[in-house]
Amino acid sequence: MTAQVPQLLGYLALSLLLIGAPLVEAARLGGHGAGGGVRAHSSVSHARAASQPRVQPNRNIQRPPVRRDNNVNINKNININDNRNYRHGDVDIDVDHHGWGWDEDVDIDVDHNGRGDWDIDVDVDHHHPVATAAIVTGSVLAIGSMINSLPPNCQQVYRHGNEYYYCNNQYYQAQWNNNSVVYVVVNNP
Amino acid sequence: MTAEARAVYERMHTSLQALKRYSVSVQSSQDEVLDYGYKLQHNSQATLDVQAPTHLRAQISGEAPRLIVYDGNTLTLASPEQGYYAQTPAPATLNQLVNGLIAHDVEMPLVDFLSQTRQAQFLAGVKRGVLVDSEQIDGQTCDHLAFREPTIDWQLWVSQGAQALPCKLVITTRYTLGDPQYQATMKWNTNPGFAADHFTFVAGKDAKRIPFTRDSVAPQQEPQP
Repeated sequence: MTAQVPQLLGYLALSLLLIGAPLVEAARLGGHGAGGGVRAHSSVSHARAASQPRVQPNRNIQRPPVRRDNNVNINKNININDNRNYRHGDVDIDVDHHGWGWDEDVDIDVDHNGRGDWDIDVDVDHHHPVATAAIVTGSVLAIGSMINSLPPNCQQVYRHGNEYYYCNNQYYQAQWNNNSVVYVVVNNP
Repeated sequence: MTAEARAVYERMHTSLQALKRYSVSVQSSQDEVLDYGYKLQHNSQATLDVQAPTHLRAQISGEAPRLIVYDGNTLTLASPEQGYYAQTPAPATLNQLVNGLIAHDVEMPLVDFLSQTRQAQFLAGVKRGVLVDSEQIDGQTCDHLAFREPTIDWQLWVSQGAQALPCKLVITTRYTLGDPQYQATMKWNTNPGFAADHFTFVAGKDAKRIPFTRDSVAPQQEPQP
């Protein structure tokens, strides 16, 4: 009997360790999403769309340039398999994403609903589809990477009438991503 | 799907269709499944003000507090706290707007129920639907509906009485490990007074307009000219 006590304590310690890790993580990341977890969908429509089989439509389709900025390079080679890691290296900082296209006849019960056909991966955190890795001073992020908040010691700079942040030798621009503001690493403006 | 469940749903659809001006306050929770199966629950509150068919103002609290304003011409997504906002030209009606919001992964409580054209075909993909019971929610008697689809389950409570409006919504994401749930309870004001400029977005003094990220600009469909 007595021999089982240390064993029990061992299990307890192990389970505390296992449970403790994500909790600490969640607490540390605080305010802006617990980071990386899988969330319940907040609408039936989103849940339906995201549960559709993964299809890879051609994202290099020519788009009529609806945006005011004529510098949009519509033939850019977006990596269609990028699986939302946002690390393709050809982001053009002159792109002025000030408009949406509107698909006016979305059919709710067909597989073609919105972004479900993209690289929706059930592991995607829809609230914060952003790398939550800690930004270590001096680490270099790929152009196009997104973070939820800026690293410390950033300098505000203005180029061509736009606002950027210069932090650790990289430029960031605030952009709106679905439901929140993110900071996107851009080329030197 | 049973006839009695469909009848309750149709009653709700008719009531929603008749509503031209309303304000709903929503209290919601959303599970997040972390590593090792820990289920963390996020809570948020929202107020949705609607004047059909061209005006919407949604104020959402929680981890990413935000404001969504639609005035029939422009859609604004704003984070007043951070002093940023993004804008895009918007379609002419709320029904069309809702399709776009869903296609662009914009989360907003009750988004399923804001478009009545969408509602008209909403049950098309539902495999099973039953009327469970009638239950009390926040002092109201509501009919409890349970639906099953291939990968999700959802439950809806609809108020009895003259107006059949959603009392509560629960969505279980079955295809995700841990079956995280979203739930929301709603309180309806079907006769609100809105100020004349209630649906006009006014940027704060130091607020800055920012672009959309590449991925939130263009969903699957091509922009309409």
